[in-house]
Amino acid sequence: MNYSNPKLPEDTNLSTQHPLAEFVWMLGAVAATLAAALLTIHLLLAWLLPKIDFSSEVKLAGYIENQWFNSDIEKKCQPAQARLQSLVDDLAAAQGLNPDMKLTVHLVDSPEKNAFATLGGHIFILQGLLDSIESENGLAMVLAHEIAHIKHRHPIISFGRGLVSSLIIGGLGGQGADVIALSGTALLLSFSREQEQVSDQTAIASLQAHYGHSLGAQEFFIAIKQESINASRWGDFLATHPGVTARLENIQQSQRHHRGALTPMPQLLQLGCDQSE
Amino acid sequence: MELDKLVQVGLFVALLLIGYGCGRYNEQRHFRSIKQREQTHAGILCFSFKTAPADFTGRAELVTGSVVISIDYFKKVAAALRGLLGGRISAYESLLERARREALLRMKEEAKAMGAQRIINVKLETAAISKNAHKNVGAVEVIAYGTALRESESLE
Repeated sequence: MNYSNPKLPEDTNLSTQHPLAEFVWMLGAVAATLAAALLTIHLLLAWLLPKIDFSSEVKLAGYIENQWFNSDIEKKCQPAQARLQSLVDDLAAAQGLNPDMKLTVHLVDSPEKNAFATLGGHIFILQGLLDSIESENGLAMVLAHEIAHIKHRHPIISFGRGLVSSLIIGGLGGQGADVIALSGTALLLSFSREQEQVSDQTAIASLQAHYGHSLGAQEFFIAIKQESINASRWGDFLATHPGVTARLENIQQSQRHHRGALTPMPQLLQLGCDQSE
Repeated sequence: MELDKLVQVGLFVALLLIGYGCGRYNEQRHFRSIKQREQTHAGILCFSFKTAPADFTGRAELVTGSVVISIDYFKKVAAALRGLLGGRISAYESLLERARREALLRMKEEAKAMGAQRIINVKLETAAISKNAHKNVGAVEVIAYGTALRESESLE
């Protein structure tokens, strides 16, 4: 038999590309596609979700976090809460909010300086925030800001975005979405920087409509900015509300030609939950 | 919750690095060994003919060589990404190349040990180990087998 085994070429079956380079390329391609898909969903939801009827949103809010939305308020907070409610209603009218969108304000006896709007037209004001503000105008800015979130339907958008991303992450992880955990996040929704800016603009306009000027609007921002300098535990708050300095500048810009007197904080609200019965 | 995720991501990156570092070191070392032994055993010829030449009068015996090689975590993830994008899974191509050549070499070593110079009817078979266990890191087995032809001793 006259036959031999020649030496075979080395690179027929082997890729000449470095495995790391290939890996980075693949990771980039997958990440870019995923990011594009998420952005599309994000924008689609922002367009679609505001079409949901507000009364349906109220019903949805009734299904989740009942202990928050429907619980009896602490009795000592009731007078101040009623006063807050009337201020909220005035501001909502000044903002031109659709009268069918009923707002419910809750005063929570907590030392934290925070306020948030969530599904179903519920607005939560924490006692610590009341204590950090001097004039009614400063409080009105916070309230009008939260009303603006509801007016622009930010809670339902954020809720939908959270729901969809949880489903996607759950689907990718193969663990199944933890829908139960979602009801916990439904209360404390996070809004985007853009949504915060839009709400600030609307709030400033409502202050002008209600008081004739936007003076005093900066009080809460100055208070939390001071806090963030004093202690790092407000880092969390600043992370969800980025650019306090930029927002302060925005407010100061709006006040340039404004003249007027600040409205003092109503007695009931000065005390908040601390008043003796 | 946040710490949990950080640990998960850290673990993933650590496994990737271990997989890449060790996997690549082992692969390169293996290829060096393969090339060197292929030269050593170049005298043993392999053919796919099914029958021995008509003038062959010696003994014919079965020879086999098999090898099992594990993939590493880096290859697993790279292949999973390929599963999304499509295309050549080069991470597995090099793995199978090593396995095929190593199996042939082991078969040749067996033939050499019995004094044979030629192997006819050479065949290769491949089996995936733990292919149904998705969480496991897989491994591949390649077995080479053929008929070694040993010349009659009287002729020597």
